[in-house]
Amino acid sequence: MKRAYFWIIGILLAGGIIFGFWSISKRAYSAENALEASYQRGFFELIDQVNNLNLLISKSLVTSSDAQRIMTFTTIWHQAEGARTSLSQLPLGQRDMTNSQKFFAQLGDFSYSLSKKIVNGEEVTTDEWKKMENFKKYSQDLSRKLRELQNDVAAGRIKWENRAYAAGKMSKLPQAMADKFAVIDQKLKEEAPTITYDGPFSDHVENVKPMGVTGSAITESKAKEIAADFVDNPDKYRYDTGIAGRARGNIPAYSVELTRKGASAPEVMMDVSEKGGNVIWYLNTRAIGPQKIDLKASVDRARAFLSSRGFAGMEATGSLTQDGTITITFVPILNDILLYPDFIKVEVALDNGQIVGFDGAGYLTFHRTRSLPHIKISKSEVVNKINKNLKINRIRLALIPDSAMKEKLCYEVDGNLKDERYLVYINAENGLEEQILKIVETEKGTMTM
Amino acid sequence: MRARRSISILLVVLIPLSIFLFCSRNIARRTLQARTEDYAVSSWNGDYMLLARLVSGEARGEPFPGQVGVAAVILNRAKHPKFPPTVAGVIFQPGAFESVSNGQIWASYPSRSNFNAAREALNGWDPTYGSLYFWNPYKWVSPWVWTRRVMTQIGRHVFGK
Repeated sequence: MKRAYFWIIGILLAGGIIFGFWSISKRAYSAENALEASYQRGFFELIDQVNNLNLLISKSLVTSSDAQRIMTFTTIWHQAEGARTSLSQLPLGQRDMTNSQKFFAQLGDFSYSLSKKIVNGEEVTTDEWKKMENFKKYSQDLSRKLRELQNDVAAGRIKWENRAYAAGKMSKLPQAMADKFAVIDQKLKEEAPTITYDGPFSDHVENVKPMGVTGSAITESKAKEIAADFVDNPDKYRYDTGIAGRARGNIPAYSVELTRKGASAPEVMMDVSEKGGNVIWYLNTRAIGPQKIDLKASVDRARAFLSSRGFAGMEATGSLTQDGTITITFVPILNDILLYPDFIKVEVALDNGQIVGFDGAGYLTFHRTRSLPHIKISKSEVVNKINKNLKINRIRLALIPDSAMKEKLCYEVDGNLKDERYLVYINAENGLEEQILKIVETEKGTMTM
Repeated sequence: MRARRSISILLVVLIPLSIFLFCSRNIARRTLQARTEDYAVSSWNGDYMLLARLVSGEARGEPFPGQVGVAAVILNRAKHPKFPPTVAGVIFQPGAFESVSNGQIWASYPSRSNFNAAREALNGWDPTYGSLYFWNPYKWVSPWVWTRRVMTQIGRHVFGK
């Protein structure tokens, strides 16, 4: 009797365990299939998009109508962005697939810049057509290789995941598919040239040399001295200064740490450029108390700080209040022209008005003595060009950077469409509408989008 | 006698095992619930939230500028031709971040300093000078990352391009 009782319990338990394993592996299996399906979708979409790109590039080379060209170029842009998205969803692990990403990004960006050119009434040069033909060559090659992979996939020879989660088989087999992609990517890197054109993904944008850094090299002890002098320190704390390391960005710098006497962690962190000893950024990490000063007083505090540190003649252009501090953007004014690329951001603590943050990277990268272009359009001409529904509040001159880091002298037209505020930028040389920003006013500050 | 002993051994092994199996399903469900609540509170700004979550997953315990650096790397990638064009695309690129692969990104709610770091990066502050990668030199990393140009080190992370 007792024996049978144990047997029954044993069988029930064994049954329960088998059921448990079965249901878990079943769930793992269906999850795995769902994952596989999304990978496969990404892959087949990528093939489609590359095929479309091929076709569209060929058409753009053949057509003689500007309207058709604009349509084709913008569709190429669209498809190339889609290809980037598909590619980024594939499980390629730690493999470096960045060259294919870049290829699609530049192809799309370049086509977009060409369509913009045609819209503005400019001609596409023979050099640019040559670049397009190059793109065609590479995308044809890519398309061919992807189709070879597609054949293997359709034959079921390759799967993205190799049953990594199935019970009892924990080791992952090599991912043949991902390896094949890596080969394609490497080939693109070797063959595709760097190209320069008018767009944000052009190769020249990444290699900006700082123009506002002048002077001779400084020593570490000089950097510490500069840091202690520069930081806003109304309570006259005694700081220990130390060098935390070097930063090797576009502006090589010493990273300086300022620690209050007796404290264990540094309170202020600052980068001081090796050349010229300019402060690139600093941040005071102290806790911020409840708000005691108003916004106007904080703007005055920020302006006074800037002029005491050698940045006079700056205009506040925007602000953002968050968590007890206000971050104010300042730009220099030269002959009544706002120089937007040379902006500086200052963060003021609203508890006592201390400057707790400074970011001068924009200023140091772009500020220099420029020769500005001649103004060929008058203010009244600008008024005529503006959309008639826009009620104009103010017009002033401003230098703005475009997405390709090219600077353009424009009229900044501040206007309202009903209760929405916009900034419209009209090129002061040729009257083209360069940029439209929508201004969003929140209780936290003024933001442009 | 012998059969009895083997059965009791079987019971000792099997009962905890089945309890464990049963509970593991419940644990999975509970974490899922915690996640939906997090979203309900803070779905007001996707980028901000996602950035803060990644910072919390990747840079927990790092000095504040190091946390801003991690968020800045995400934003630099989203602007760079070699990476997907959106913040979500960058963060969820398969295999790109360890904290996404192992679920750390969902493990706990970001701290105040994680949110502040995300905000500073969105405001345009980049202590990493345009870096596209970061890694912890004290852990094993793919040798490939050391071929990157090192920009700076903040806390335990090296930032490079």
